[in-house]
Amino acid sequence: MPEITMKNITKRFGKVTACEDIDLTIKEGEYVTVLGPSGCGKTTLVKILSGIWEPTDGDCFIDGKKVTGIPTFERDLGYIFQNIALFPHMTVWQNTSYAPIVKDRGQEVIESTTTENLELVNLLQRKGFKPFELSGGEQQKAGIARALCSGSKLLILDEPLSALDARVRLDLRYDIKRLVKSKGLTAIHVTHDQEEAMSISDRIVLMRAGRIVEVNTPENLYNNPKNLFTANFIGEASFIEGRIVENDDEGNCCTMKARNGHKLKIKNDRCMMKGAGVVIAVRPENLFISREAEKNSIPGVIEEKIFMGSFMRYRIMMATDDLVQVEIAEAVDKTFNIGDNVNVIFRSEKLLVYPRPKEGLQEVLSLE
Amino acid sequence: MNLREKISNFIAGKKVIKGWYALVIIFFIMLVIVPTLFVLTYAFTGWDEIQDSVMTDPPEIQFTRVQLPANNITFISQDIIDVTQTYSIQVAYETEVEMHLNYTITLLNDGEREIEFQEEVMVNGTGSYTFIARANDTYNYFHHVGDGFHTLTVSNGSGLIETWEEPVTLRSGSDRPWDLVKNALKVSFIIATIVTIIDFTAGLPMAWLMVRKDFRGKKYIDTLIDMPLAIPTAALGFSTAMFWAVTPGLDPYGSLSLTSSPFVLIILLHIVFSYPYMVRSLSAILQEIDINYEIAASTLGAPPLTVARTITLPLFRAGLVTGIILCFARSLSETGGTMAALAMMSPSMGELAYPMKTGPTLIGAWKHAGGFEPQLAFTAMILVIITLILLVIIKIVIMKFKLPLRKVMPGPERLLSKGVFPKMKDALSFLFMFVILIIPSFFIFSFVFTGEPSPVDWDGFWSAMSFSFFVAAVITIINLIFGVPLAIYIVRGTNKMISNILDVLVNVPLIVPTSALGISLGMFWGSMDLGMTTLLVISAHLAFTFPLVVRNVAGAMEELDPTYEETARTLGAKPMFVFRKIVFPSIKFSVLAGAIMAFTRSLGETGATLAVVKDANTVPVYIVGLVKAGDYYPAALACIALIFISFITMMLMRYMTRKAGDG
Amino acid sequence: MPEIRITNLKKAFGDLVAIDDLTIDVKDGEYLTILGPTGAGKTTLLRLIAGLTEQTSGSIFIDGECVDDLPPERRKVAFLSQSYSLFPHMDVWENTTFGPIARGWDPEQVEIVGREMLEMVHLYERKDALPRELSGGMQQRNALARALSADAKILLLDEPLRALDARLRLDLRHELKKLSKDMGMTAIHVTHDQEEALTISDRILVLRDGRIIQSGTPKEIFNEPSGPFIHHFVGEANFVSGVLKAVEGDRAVITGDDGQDYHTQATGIKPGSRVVTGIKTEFTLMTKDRWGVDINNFTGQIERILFLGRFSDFEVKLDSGQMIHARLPGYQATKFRAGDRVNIHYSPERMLVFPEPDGGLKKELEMV
Repeated sequence: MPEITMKNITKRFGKVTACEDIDLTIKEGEYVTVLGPSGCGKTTLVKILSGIWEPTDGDCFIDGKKVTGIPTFERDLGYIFQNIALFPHMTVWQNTSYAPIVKDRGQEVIESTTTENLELVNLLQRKGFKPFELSGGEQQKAGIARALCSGSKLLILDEPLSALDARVRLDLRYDIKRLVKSKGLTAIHVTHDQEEAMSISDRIVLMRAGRIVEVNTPENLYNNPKNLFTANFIGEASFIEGRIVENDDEGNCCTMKARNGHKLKIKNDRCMMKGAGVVIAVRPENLFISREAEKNSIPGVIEEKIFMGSFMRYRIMMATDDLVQVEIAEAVDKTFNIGDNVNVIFRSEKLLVYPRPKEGLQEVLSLE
Repeated sequence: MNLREKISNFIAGKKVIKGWYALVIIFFIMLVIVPTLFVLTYAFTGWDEIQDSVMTDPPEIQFTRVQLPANNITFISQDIIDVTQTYSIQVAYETEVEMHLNYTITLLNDGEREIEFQEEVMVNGTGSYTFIARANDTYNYFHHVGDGFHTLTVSNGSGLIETWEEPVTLRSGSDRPWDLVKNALKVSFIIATIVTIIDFTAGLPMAWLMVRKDFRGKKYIDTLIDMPLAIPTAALGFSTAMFWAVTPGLDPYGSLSLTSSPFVLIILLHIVFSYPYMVRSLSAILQEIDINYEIAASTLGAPPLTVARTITLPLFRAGLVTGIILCFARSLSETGGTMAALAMMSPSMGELAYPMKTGPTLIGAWKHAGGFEPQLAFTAMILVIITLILLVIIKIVIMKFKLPLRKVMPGPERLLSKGVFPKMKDALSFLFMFVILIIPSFFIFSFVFTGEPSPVDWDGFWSAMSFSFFVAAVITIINLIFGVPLAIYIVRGTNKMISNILDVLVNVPLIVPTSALGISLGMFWGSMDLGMTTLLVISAHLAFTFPLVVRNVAGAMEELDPTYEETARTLGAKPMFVFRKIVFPSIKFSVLAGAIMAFTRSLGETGATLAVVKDANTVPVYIVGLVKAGDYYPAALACIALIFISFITMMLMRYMTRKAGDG
Repeated sequence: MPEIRITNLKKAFGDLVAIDDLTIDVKDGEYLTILGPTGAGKTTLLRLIAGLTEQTSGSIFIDGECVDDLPPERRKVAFLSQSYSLFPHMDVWENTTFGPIARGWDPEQVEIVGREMLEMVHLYERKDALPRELSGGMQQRNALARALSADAKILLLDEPLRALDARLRLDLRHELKKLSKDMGMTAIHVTHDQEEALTISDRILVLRDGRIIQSGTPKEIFNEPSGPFIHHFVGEANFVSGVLKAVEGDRAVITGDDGQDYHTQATGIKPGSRVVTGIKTEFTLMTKDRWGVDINNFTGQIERILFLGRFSDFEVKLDSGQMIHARLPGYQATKFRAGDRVNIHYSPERMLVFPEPDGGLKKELEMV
């Protein structure tokens, strides 16, 4: 039963540190996604776990057993690759049955596991095809079947959907989640796609520049991110800089003064002391717009109007010189146009508050 | 649109570019391919001659009893002398005064009479004397084969009394020329096969190590592997023979003197210069195989050996074909080193008398002897045809042949993938490299430092050197002018069929043995009757070095993402501007590498030079000549000089290409 | 006036027809997106316009001038390839000024244009950096600056965002469109990402197997797809096959193959024909309690939930056995757990009706 622990994992390539001092525990049967921008060290982490690379420092434990120094082929795991890496000279069947054959499982087991897993991904009728005869999505499905056939309870997914068309990705998410959960596997999934991460995982490990930023469930990371980078990276957010000018006694209600004298009321457990420089973050779906000024609103001008299917997105330059994005269900929206003067309405309990970062807001939010 | 724009638009126009490419292709076909394969026409134009001089049995040797009437001298002569046998002529005499008997064998060599054997004795009374001439006695005896005369003159103190002269034919062996050709080619192909197999077996683990493993000192090993390529094969043959073989009259400090079999020695020699090609081609393809396939297999539980057998090797076939073809062709065409090595094992013999001949050395010997045109053409023709057919077969067999991949042997492979075995494999790879490659290559230094110095003819050396450099420089420049556009056309050409055909044709001069190529070129240009030695040598060297430039540049072009050029075009750049600013900066190091390869190959080539003109004076020919004459010390010095020069150029190349890798 | 007219364009590679008889008009200043799955011929179309590939037949006109015989450098069309193709041996400045220099402008003008473009994409201070020293986003901006400085009025973008991280893409979409509009360019943008196409374009062309299957504004493509494929490809839809029973006023009734009646939008199709009807998952309503209206109501059980932040996607197994998807906004989604019994409602005005495609629904929806 796989439970994974990583202790103080550090990996350096010459002078470059890919990841530093990573501590992480993954429970049995858990689906954990390691999320982060390119070059944040997320792939390094799973390559170390699978033994493709050895850590510079620290150890990995699978089921409490230290695996440092044990070669990949003896680690008992399934690995799904970004570039799929189906053996090009073998058919789908040969690819899928590779693991049971090299593990010398016996003819009957080879037949039955291969059949079973190909059926699971709906590819049994294509078993005689060579990889290049399959579409991208089918190739990755075959890749998944191949990894499942290893019989391991630990599955590593290294950006499994990145090489696929956007629309195909959406469909495959369901398949992956279904397979992993129905087989009771422990899964580690690496991706740069925050939507993919949220949709598929029990827990997300958000990384940046070789370090873990935050670990939490998708819902918590989205609704209540503990830091500004998370707020921006997991789902979009608009940011308004200001200073606390007033706070109540309980410490969960305060008023912020943004640029040009506009004030906003905030209801949040993490309200700061009076005088503190803050940044508030707000998700586009938590904002409204109206023609009339209302309580807790800031005037602005619509700069852009973007059709997004079932809703409309407005980009509004507010009087505080902050650009905010507002999303409104299409059914409600009919009336606003580019150039209109509107008021952006804030719901005080939906505002996230953070201390203003010393290194500057742009630096902290930077996605690269 | 002003005039300048009009002109530049015109130059960039499709027609002009097409014309330029057409010119390059015509150059390639007319100056490289047609001359290379021209010898095949001999099958139609010279079939009768082939039948006469190759296929027919040589006439029986006739013995004639000659009586010189005036002087009671009788002797038995032969009308044909077999230079591989001992030749004796017995003279019986019955005379009262002292007589001088002078016996000579003279050969007609391009109309010139050359004395092959001469001996004078003084006789008196009654008795008999036997002139014994053995081909392996002194170097000059029966060096040549062909038509000539043998002469017996009888004189006394006061002057000439009588002269007897009869035509004689010197030939090598009592075999049919066809049998000679057959045997030589058989030896050549067997050696090439064995060498290729050994190269592959030893080269694969090495290539693996170089590409997939990281270890300290890797870049030094990388350089060491290429070392034998920097040394002209004539020097390699000299050095290797000294190290391994029993070489009469030469026993430098440290020589192993392990073998007296020319067959074994030639195999050892050919491994030295073909192994780098094998390792290089295997590494190149190994680098291209996405390492993720191997990682994928190991995550699925396959131990390294299983991964290698089931995943890497099957994906490897293209590289295998290149490696095998290159090694095979190199072994098949090597002349200089083989000649030097054979000469050292059988010193003082004529080339035709060596106990073993390979295809190229037979060609070299016949060409040197002169007067064997039909035989030469025939041998070259057969060599070209068999090589081409064999290469096609190799390609098909390797691409179609199914290794027993499906059958997996987890137990033994798992065992062999662990513990001491991989380390042993690595250690053996290094050992092989040092013992088989590096030490024999540089053994020549031991001889120079420990051997007896003897006078050196520096004038001859420098004149050979300057001629070699001149040829190498000229062909390098021509190669660049025509090779680069051809490479670009092969990779980027719009007509895929033409570029595919060109792509195949370019390899032809690379795989046709150079001595056959030399014969073919000699026939082609000889038929044009240009007559200039230098031009002939240049055109021969051009033919077999041209593919090196094209291959290198084409390889770089293939790696250059065409979107760079396309983007540049959409940004407003005309084709020439794109070439100057985008293409050339990206491929210049490969162009340079190709140029240097062509240069060093030309510098080290013996076979083609000897085959095209027998008295060309390039450095390798000069060295082989010295070795054959037994002038080992000067030969060694010349070798070392050549090694240093080649070495510097190669280091320069590595430096440049490494810079390319960094940039 | 950079407008593009393409008439009866066809391109075949041997037997394979990549572009099949396309006729397109692109208006001056328009931002046109070509959307389609991998292998639809999108890139080929761009290459034909740029002059990088020669068409088999048909003609291309730019500003009313036939450019069929013009080499790429004389078409004044800037092409931004998927990998950006920044010249690796040139620094940012040299890359940016490549076009002006290639066109032989005088040095002063080159200097002015280069500076202006680099400042516009905020890269002037990095002008001495080599491409490999830039992050993915910067590389993209540099490539854009280079394309724009070449005096072209037409911008061809081949999946310009594909190589970037998912989160970064969201930000760069806006920048891309803004830049092209500010410069007054006519842009053709190729993508496989339906969301990207919806948010960025003035008009979308949906390409499949080398043919245009629909052309329209994002709103039209989303709300009035021409067939089941687009309905499913742009957004996601649930489908039912059946026989059209009757059309009354603005409603139609379809008897599904499962025996149930489905009320849909009115249609011009003759009653009695085989049809498919589908509804976008965004408009698929899911409630705990039964929906008030008496039609198009179904019950089922939630199998899986994919959390997406502002939305959640639900996979629901209807009692009929059919698997359907429903997309709910975040504030509604929190009410549901996997395993819950739920009611599903398809509003008739969102149920679109199409004739049953040749080869069946499944084949029609394949996204190869």
